[in-house]
Amino acid sequence: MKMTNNQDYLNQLFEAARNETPIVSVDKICSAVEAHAAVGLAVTASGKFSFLTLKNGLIGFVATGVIAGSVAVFSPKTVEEVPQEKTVQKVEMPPISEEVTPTTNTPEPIVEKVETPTIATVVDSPDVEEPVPAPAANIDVEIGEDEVVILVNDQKVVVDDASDDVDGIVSAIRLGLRKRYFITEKTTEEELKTIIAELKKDAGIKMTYNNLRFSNNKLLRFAIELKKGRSMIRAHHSHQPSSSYIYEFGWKMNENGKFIDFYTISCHEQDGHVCAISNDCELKDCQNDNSFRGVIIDDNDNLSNRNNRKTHFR
Amino acid sequence: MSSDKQEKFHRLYTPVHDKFERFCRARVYGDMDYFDLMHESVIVAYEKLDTLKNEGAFLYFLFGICVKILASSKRKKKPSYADTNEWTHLKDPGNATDQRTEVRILHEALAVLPEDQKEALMLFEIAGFTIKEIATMQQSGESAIKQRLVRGRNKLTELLTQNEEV
Repeated sequence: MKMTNNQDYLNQLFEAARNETPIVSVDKICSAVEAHAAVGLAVTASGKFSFLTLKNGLIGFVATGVIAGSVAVFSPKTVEEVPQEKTVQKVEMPPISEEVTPTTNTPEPIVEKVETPTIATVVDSPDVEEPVPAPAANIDVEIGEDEVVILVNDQKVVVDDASDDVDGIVSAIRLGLRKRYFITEKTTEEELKTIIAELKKDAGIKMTYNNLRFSNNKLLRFAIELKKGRSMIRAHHSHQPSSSYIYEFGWKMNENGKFIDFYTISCHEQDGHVCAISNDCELKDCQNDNSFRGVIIDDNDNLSNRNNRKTHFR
Repeated sequence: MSSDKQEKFHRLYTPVHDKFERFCRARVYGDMDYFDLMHESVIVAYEKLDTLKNEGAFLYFLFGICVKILASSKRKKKPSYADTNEWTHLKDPGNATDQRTEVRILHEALAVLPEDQKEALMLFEIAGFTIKEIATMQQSGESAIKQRLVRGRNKLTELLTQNEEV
């Protein structure tokens, strides 16, 4: 291959990658979705496995469930899709076998690099203590009107209903029953210790932190780890001093207030908008402007005002 | 499941399929079967479709799910089909050998890069996302993404030059 220089060569390769004809057809993907939809009705809400007979007489295996925060979804792959010989078409599908292992359940934690900002990792165990409802099952759960507590000199002060105080967050992100904790740039190490005590008291959750980095009394970097039983979540967060953030984490509970799993949501201010990313993919209210298709929590509110409240939890 | 939902998903997914397929194929080259990643991503996207308020953001929505699945999963390594000798047995309809060879070379080089660099490069160069969008997806600052892109390109150039010398 002729090339004028290395950068041109690289551009040429990327150009080829952009123009390459896809191997997997769109119909195949849509068929998989349809198959999932067709058999999804038979899946029990508790995430139990079901064996289903498909229309074409082949046996499929489907399981839908959420295990400690990670979505594990499988849908049937028919025998027709199993590679029989080496051709382009056969590359599309791997041979299906009995080994349908939830890949999100690997017990090894993903260790993120410290310099990688705002990355949350959920590590699950295959034998969670109790079945967890699928995401769809969480959607209609009402949120209780819990109080918001602000930490002022380590003293808890009840402010108001959560709907008033954290309006942007509460109104835009669909919540189940959750115990929520917030860290902002105003959070101090003492407040983190208070949160640790609260987590321990409320649900027997063990929380640790490290890599704290303050600049001008602003908390710009931290790493936390939460553990309960075999459920664990690790997160690193780092931020630019020029912008603001609210880092929310906590745990979901069932209607009896019993621990289900952990979750994290990272919110930061960018170009005058506030966006958020949750580790359970609850993407909401995207902006119309194609130049920034982030997830907008609150288009008008100024996040920095909310930061004045420091750390709070409900 | 309602057929309306399926139709909606089909309508939203079809225009972004090619881009999504290319990204998944490049992203997990030599590591796992990309169809598994596509499959899992679209199923989650389908399940979460009701939460998508702006249809114009479907591309971001889908890629965000895909990136998140990769980030939150330490996957069991599966045999890769693309990085075996099967390559030489593939049919070549449309006489696309040159292009496919180029893409394979690129995928192999990309696979060597650190995860964050690799992903940023693919989102930017292959999927066509802006730096802002990638920053949001990777939960990083824009300057960090720019650095990843520069470092990634430099490393790629180095790798490809080495290959050529060999």
